Amino acid sequence: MLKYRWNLLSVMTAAMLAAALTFSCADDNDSNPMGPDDHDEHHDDDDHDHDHGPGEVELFTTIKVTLTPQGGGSSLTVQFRDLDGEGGDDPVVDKIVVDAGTVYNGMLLELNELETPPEDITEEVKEEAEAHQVFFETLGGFSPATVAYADKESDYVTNSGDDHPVGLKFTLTVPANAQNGQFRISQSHYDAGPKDGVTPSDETDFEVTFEVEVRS
Amino acid sequence: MRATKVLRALLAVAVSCLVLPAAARAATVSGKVLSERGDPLPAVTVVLPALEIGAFTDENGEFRLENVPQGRHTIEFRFVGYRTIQSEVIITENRSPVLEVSMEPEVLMGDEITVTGDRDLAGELTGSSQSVLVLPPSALEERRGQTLGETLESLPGVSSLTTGPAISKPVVRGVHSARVLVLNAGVTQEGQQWGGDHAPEIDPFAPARIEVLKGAASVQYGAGAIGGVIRIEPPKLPVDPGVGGRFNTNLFSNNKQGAASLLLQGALHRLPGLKWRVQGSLRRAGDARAPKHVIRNSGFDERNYSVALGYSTDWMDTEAYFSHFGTWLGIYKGAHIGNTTDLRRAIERGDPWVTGEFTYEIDNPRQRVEHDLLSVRSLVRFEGVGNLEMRYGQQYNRREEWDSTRSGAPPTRPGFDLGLQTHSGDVIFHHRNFGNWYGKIGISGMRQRNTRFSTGFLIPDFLAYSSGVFALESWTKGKTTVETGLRYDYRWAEIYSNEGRRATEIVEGGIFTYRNMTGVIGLIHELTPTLAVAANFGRAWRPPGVNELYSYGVHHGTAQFEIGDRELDTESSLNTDLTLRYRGDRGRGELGLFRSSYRNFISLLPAGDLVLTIRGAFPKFTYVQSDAVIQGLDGFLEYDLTRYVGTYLSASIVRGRNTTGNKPLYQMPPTRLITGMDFRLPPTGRLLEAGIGFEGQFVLRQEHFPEGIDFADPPAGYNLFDVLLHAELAVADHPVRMQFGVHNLFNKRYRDYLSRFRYFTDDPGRNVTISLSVPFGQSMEE
Repeated sequence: MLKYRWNLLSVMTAAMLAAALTFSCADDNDSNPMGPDDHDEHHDDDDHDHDHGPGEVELFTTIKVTLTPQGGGSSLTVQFRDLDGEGGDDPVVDKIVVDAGTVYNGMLLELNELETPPEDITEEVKEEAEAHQVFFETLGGFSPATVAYADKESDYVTNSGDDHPVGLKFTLTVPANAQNGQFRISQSHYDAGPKDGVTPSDETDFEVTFEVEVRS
Repeated sequence: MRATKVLRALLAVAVSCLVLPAAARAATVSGKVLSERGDPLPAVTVVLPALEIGAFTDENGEFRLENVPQGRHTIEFRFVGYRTIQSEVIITENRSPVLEVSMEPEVLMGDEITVTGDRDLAGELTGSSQSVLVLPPSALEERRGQTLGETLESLPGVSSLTTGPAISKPVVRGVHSARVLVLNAGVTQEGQQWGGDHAPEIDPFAPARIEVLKGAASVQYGAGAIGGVIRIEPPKLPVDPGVGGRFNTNLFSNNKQGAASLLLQGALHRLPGLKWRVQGSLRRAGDARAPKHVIRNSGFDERNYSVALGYSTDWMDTEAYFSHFGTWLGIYKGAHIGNTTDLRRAIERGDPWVTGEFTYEIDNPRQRVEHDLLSVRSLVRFEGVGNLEMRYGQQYNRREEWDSTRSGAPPTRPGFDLGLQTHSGDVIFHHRNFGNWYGKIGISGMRQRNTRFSTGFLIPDFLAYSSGVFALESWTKGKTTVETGLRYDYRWAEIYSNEGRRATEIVEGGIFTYRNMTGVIGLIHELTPTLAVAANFGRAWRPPGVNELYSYGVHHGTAQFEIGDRELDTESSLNTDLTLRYRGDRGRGELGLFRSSYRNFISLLPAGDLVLTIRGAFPKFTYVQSDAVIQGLDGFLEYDLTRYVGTYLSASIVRGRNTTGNKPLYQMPPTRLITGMDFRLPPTGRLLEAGIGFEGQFVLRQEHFPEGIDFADPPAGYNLFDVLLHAELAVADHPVRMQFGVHNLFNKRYRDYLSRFRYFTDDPGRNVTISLSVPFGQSMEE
């Protein structure tokens, strides 16, 4: 009786083990119900060359702003650059140096420099002009400066409905009374809600703040 | 007002039910009670507790109960040394049922419900030295189709942490996630529990019984059970040959949810002892609706199935259970913010910026979750010595979270993608009574591996082993039982570096080991036959979670930059519980007082500075350790005023304090009171049971919260009212159950403090529910 008992036990144990092996030893296929192969040695996933960063599929690393004085003069390009993504090393932010009493034509360039060659996200924003808008704020002593949009959705796409501004091109007017301060540029993405041309969304793509020095 | 109209209609139905003639006729219930080997069992007590009718079985194991009125009754079979069986019987006109019942010796699988001892039923008067709430099949039936969190949130001491309408996590006495262990079919559920928006992967139709143990239970269950244990048991496999099953369906008006489940089970004639069950369920919901707007992208699409196979002989039982859980969950679009400015804008605006029309479509952001679980349990009886229980579990959890893309085009890969594989095993020996002593010793082991697939970093890859050895003994004399237990645990984990991958943040690997000793001592004393007092004192611990060690990045929906700390130490607690329990003829009740003193309590607190990113500046939050105390009281009382009017009351109060910083703890559940009345009709003809219930839920504003941590102060308190009409009809000798309910009857606008999306949206409004449960074939043992 006891012998029979242990025989049955071993059969059961074998059955349990077999069941376990069926699940754990299947091939490295995601459709396998109990998951991929579970090697003891850790494999380096070198082949995953799309590893971007902290939980985000898409990443901006660099925002370049080019300011060209209307009526001649040399243009100025500054950038906000954070090559290691969020966290890690602090971003490198240039200073904007402008002259009082001058009007500048502004242009934005948005890049993901983690890709080789760098991905020009501005192109994507142009294609999706109806779902993006850049907002500008002049802060501190720089607040007398004003920004006007210099582009419209129809510059980039055949738009339906209202032709709202986009903000990849703008004019920055620095009056004589402007002083040192900050210049903030943010881009709203309109995926969940409608774009009305004036209201920022709750889905900010980027928000960068530059220190501004005004020469009089 | 629409609400008043609905109420009036309900009352009309109730009144028309009341005036139906009550023609109560009596019948005889007879039958035979057999042992697990098929021998007749004499001197078994057979009672209908509700009616105080009883009899004993004779030497042939036969019994006869006379004058049993029509309706649905629960008959109990009790015999010393055997597990008490509760069997349901339906008596309609001209029907005298004949029952055949098999009783099994005590200490079988799934019965070691209490944590420090092996008394039979946890919810019973002297069942446990801790507070254990039991949701039997009848209570589960009432809540079918809802998530686990929603199912449990009405219990005293339990609330739920929600991330939109589709995701809810149970919170037990103020703690959740890594501090609450979920035991599914005897196996510790291993998903990515650390996430507040990662709900337990449980098919709401699968459990036949849920138990919530409030408080620490580290000796029996190891490290995870520092705050509570939720035990989920699938139905018992049938004993009698034949095929039977049940069909359930639910409809919910708020999110236009439809859910259905089919269960088939049987035992073989030709091969006695072999039994089986298959079950599957579907749940599909669209956007939920707050009173003022649609909560866009909050639907889900869930498909689950399970199979079970069991074999029993006179000396052993074995059961194998496999379940698959799979869901797509939409994440409310308005909570998908870009940075802190967006969050501030959302809070200042009050109303959501994103609204839209109802749809079933699930768009990004969304989650894809799959969970497979295999559990094999065996129990071998050694006569005169005891029982040997063996459990093996294997699980694979896959979690993908998909973000919306800038271009609006569907992304090609998820934002992150994790696979977690776990093997676990336990061997427990339950020894027979040895004088006044009774108890068990056990060993358990686990192997776990986390794999990060091709996308963003959230937590690193790791491999972990843990093992434990424990002993639990109880000593009973007269009306007093003393329980004690000890456990030793060892855990080893290797965190892998992600060097060599094109990651923006290089994670340094490392090996982490933890050793810990826990102990418990408990006391249960029966004061009177209806009143008992229980006390429990114990130590519990948990290792820091991998997210607490390694998190690094912005948390969606809260705009916090979260940073883990690799130097975190083990969190431990000393827990004291005092429970007063009442089980009378007309009611049940419990009052629990508890206090948990934590050392090295891990929490996420603002570091005071900002992390500058290209998306803007985010406040930096770090995982820190401090001492903390969580204490409170909770309880319930159910009492039948008459046979036809029942009333109930439950209350929960929790206070948490960071004693190092002398500040309240963040996210403690607000004080809550639930009260209700149920008016029942006498059974007539084929109507076995019918009634109407009214319930009120009163939630106070959380006044105890740490200043300067949260983006918004706790929302105002709220009151909700529910109505439930229920009836049970005998159709072909089976009880067919129907329900019609209205939750949040007055379509009240509110935001719960434990709703993680309370910055962005109101909680859902009125919800009309209809449900139907149709058993067929061989009756199910419940």
